[in-house]
Amino acid sequence: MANRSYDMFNGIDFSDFEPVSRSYEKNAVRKIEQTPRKVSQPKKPQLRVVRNPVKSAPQEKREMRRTALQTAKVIAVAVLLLTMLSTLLYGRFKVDELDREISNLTAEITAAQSENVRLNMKLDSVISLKNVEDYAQTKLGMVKMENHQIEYIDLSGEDKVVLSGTKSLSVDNKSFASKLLEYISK
Amino acid sequence: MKTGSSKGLALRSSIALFILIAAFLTCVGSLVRVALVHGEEYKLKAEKNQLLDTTISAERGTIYDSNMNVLAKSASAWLIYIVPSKIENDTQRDLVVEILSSTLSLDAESVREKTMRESNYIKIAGEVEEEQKDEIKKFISEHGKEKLSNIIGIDPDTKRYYPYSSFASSIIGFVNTDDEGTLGVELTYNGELTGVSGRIVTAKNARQKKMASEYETTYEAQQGANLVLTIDEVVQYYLEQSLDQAIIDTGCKYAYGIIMDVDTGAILAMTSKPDFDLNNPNVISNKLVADKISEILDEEEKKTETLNARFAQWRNRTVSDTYEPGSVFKTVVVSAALEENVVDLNTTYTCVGGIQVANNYQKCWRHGGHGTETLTQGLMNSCNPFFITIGQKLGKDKFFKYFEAFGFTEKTGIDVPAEANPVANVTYHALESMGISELSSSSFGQTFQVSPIQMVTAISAIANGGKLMTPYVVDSMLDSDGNVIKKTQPVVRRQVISEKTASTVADMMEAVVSKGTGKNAYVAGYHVAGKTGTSEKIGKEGAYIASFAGFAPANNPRIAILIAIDEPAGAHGGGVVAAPIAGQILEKVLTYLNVEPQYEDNEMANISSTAPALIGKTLQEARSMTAGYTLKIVGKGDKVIAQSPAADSQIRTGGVIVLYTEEQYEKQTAIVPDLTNMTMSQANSAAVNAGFNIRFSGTTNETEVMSYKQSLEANTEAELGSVITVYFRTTVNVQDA
Repeated sequence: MANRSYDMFNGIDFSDFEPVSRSYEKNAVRKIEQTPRKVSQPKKPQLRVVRNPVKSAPQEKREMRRTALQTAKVIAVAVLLLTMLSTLLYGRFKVDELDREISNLTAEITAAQSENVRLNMKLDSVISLKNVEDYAQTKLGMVKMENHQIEYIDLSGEDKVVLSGTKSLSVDNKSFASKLLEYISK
Repeated sequence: MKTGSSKGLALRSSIALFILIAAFLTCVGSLVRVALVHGEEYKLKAEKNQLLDTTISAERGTIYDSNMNVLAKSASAWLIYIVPSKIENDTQRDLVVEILSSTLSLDAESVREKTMRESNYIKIAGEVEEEQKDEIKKFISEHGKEKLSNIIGIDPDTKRYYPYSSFASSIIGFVNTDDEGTLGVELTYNGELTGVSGRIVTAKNARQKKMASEYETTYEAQQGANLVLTIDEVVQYYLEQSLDQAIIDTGCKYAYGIIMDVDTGAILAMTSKPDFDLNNPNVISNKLVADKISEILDEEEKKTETLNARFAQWRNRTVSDTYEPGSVFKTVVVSAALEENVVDLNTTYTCVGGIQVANNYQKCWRHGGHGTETLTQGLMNSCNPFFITIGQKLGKDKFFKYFEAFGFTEKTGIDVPAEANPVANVTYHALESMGISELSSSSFGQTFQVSPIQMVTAISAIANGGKLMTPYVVDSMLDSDGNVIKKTQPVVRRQVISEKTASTVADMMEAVVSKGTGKNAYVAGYHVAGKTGTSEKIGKEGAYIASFAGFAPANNPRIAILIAIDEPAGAHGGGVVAAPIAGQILEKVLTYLNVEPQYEDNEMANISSTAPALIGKTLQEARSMTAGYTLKIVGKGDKVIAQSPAADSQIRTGGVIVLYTEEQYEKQTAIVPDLTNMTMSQANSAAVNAGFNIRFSGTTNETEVMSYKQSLEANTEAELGSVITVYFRTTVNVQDA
């Protein structure tokens, strides 16, 4: 195609080979170039009478149902979205509330623990050995145990069983035959 | 035309290119500056802007005694501060002064003065408890119009509680306002007790408020290790109780003592009196000193004296002070001489009342001398010429070898701070500078100084068969769950003397207590070994330190004890002043440690009988059960409702028993007689005549003993039949210097 000489196409208007619409446009261009320009007048809108198609009752019903379904769908989606949004917001609110609660409770625990330590320390100081000894001796009239009052028990020997009275530990392990023989021999 | 437009295009293109390149380079440069040069800085700024970083302070570890009683514990508290620059009028100022001074028990004028300062932060009080903080907060909200919340600030703080106030204060120590250990084990183990602080990193929203917890990262704080001390609360209490009483009885300046487990080196009790309240360490506990300071008018001098008094009361004299051990050191000399076979038990010496040493004549404390004595008798009599002779026979090389071996030239390594550091030719004579005079005086414990902890460690070595131990006060460290993370193992520094020598010296020391200068430390039923010591304080004429060091039971040693009475007002001999105190402590401690007493026949004779249980018995039954006692019946009933003394109280035969026979009875009382400075029989009669019972304590195996103290104060009112413990001691043949 490229080797073809220009003369080969001389006199041929390529617009002729173009689709109709385009060639028309081309001709239109030519026309415009040839004819003086006209001021284009605004076209008056043409009135058209559209007649509603006459629908049958079941068709209308079906359509109404479809519309209702569509509306319901939209409402449902809206409600769903609203619910999700509310849930999200509520969740966020709840998390915040629980966070606050946790931090309040943590502070309360710390305070309670500190108070517990303080009270325990106060208690310890009240029941110190000195105070207990003073109270026991001066208020209760108690006296300390003396060394010689302690009785030391020697547990270094072997274990023994001490029987009370005439009880015997011997086990009756005679056989039935020997018991019978004994009975007969009596 | 065409050429001109091409040129213009080229120029414009070049300019555009240049601008583009310049912009690009600027961008890259800025990027480099932001990312590499100031990267960290901007990162931190961004983090600071986006993140909220809260520090969780680690709880300081708890300190327990060996029975797991809490001795020190931390809890969270509050710090109250003010912002004086926010005070706008006098009404606000008055309200701030009113609430802070009344709630925190502060001087109103001092608070007012702080409100006048031009500052944005002035601390008013730390370690404020929840209750007080709530009161302040309530006041602030009640006066909302005055906007006090802008002026009074509340920050978290911690408070360290010491439930027993001054108990074991020199060992435990205390913390400063930054919660750092300042004294005692609080200082030595500060690192372990402190723990590691934690952090909460939270994202902030645009309004700089904390965001939800999902944007929060918590790095938990690691609580500090808990310390379990070797200190036994009961043993420590007995030691402190006796030394508090010793200060009253002897009028001494200081009294200090140590009780050590001879086998491990664990310190069971250690105190230095007078001490201080750990909850208020800056308050001068000695009333006399405090009064003296308050009388000083010059502010500068007052400040200096207050500081000096504080440091004096904080000082752990058992570890940080040195003293001349005096005759107590003779136990070390005799150990060295026996180990080196310089002497044996049959060695005798004739004391004529003194000995010539170089150009000086060293007198024996006993005028006229002790005459001929064996080695044991020499120790019992604490004869100086005998020990000078032993020291000279030993020679300075061997003397110094044992001086060093017993640990007197080095620190003991105890885990409490500020242990005295022995310095050659300052606290003791170095080998090269030791002449005959120095050797002779050192042989009876003079002209050199040791710390009480060094001395008791050396005595422990004699008690445990010759092993020199490292003393310690921390037994173990626990994590927050109570798991042991570190346990102190007893450390034997070296074998100083053989077991045989140690056993021989122990027997000799027992003789010192049973028959020698230490007989006031005698405890019925127990074999106590020990040695008394008296030394004049260097550079302070007429000021003495009376001491006793020993161990018990002598046949199977469990504990070693050292008691030092610094500058007693009256008698100053170790045998008279320190030995009875050691005896009292040993009696209580050995009973507490369940050491079985073994009474000799003569000891059993002195042991009193006990009051029978008579409540609920008829009068007839009661009478038959109390034959040999003086019975006093109160009321007209026929059954015993109450009795005094209580059943099983120790009373002597012939003692008084009061029986109450009516429900609504009134206790019968009488004035307690003065039972001091009496012999045993005199005291017994005086007590019974006044309607009381008597219990003997202290040295009761000697004929020449005299009472010196009684448990119920004389001339006070007490219930009839009460038991008065009367303490006896001897003043005959107990001098050692």
